[in-house]
Amino acid sequence: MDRIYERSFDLNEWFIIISLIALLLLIWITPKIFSFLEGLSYYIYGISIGMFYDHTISIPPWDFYDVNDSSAYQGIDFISYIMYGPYSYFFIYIYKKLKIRGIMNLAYLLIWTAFSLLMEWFTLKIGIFHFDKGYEMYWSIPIYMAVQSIQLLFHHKINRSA
Amino acid sequence: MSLPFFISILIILSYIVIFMRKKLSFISNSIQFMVLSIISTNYITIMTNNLEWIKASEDVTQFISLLINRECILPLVGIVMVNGYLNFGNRTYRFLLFVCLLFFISVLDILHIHFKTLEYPQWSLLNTIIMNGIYLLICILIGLGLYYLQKKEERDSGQNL
Repeated sequence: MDRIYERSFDLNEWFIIISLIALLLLIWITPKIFSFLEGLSYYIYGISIGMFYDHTISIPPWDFYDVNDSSAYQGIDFISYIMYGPYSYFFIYIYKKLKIRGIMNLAYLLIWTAFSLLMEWFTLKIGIFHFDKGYEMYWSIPIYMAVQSIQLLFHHKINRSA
Repeated sequence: MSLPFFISILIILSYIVIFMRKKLSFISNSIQFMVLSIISTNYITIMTNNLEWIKASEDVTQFISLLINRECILPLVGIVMVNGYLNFGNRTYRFLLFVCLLFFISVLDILHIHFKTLEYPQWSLLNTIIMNGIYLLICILIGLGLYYLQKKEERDSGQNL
């Protein structure tokens, strides 16, 4: 039986659509520092990782939380995963712009983890996530740190293979 | 019981992918892998949670084997399919590769049924084989698109995104 939180098209849906458009525009207007395929790979990384976690721990047998208006998988859920793409793109974009090296990698990772947690808290408040089933935000800390570390390794592997 | 099978298959397949001759670059193969994992994830979720034509086991160990299949084995098969397709110039070899991989991923589905990881209350194995065939065709299409973009980038050496 699907759990329904609300049925209206309100703040959570508007946030997803507006932020997706705004972030895509930001990608469009910022100076290009990646080739098309490299930029695309960073973008898709965010989508696939977000989808992997949500379609793993928010469905049975774990079923720790729900996304958007209902526990069922909806079209707006899919769009919300596309919204993750620009974040993973800018994660590497800023990393490359700032020329992060050495121990500063850790500082960069921690800043982005804090930012991700802030975004998660905000999306929780506007109804994109529902942690009524017992999920706690602190579980997201190692998840963010792990996926961001893997993305940094992915970026360096791409640089080496280029 | 299903988990050791799927872990072993994953390791074997990883070796095949690592050491096979690949015409797609690391970036293109990565994009192919991630897009295919998105497709297979959506397919399984929609079939099991929304349509409920397929029932996934709620046993954690069996569910992990389904995850390995969904997130790793199927995308890796897609990489083998498209790189093999690009490597073989001959249509017969391409068709043989398609049939072999279709047989392979369909056997994995039979294993899922055997181990009761998946049940088909409103679905059939024939439907699964058809969907697997469509999946492999999608793999080829995405791979060809990426190969085209890769070649274009190599020619232009530009920065577009």
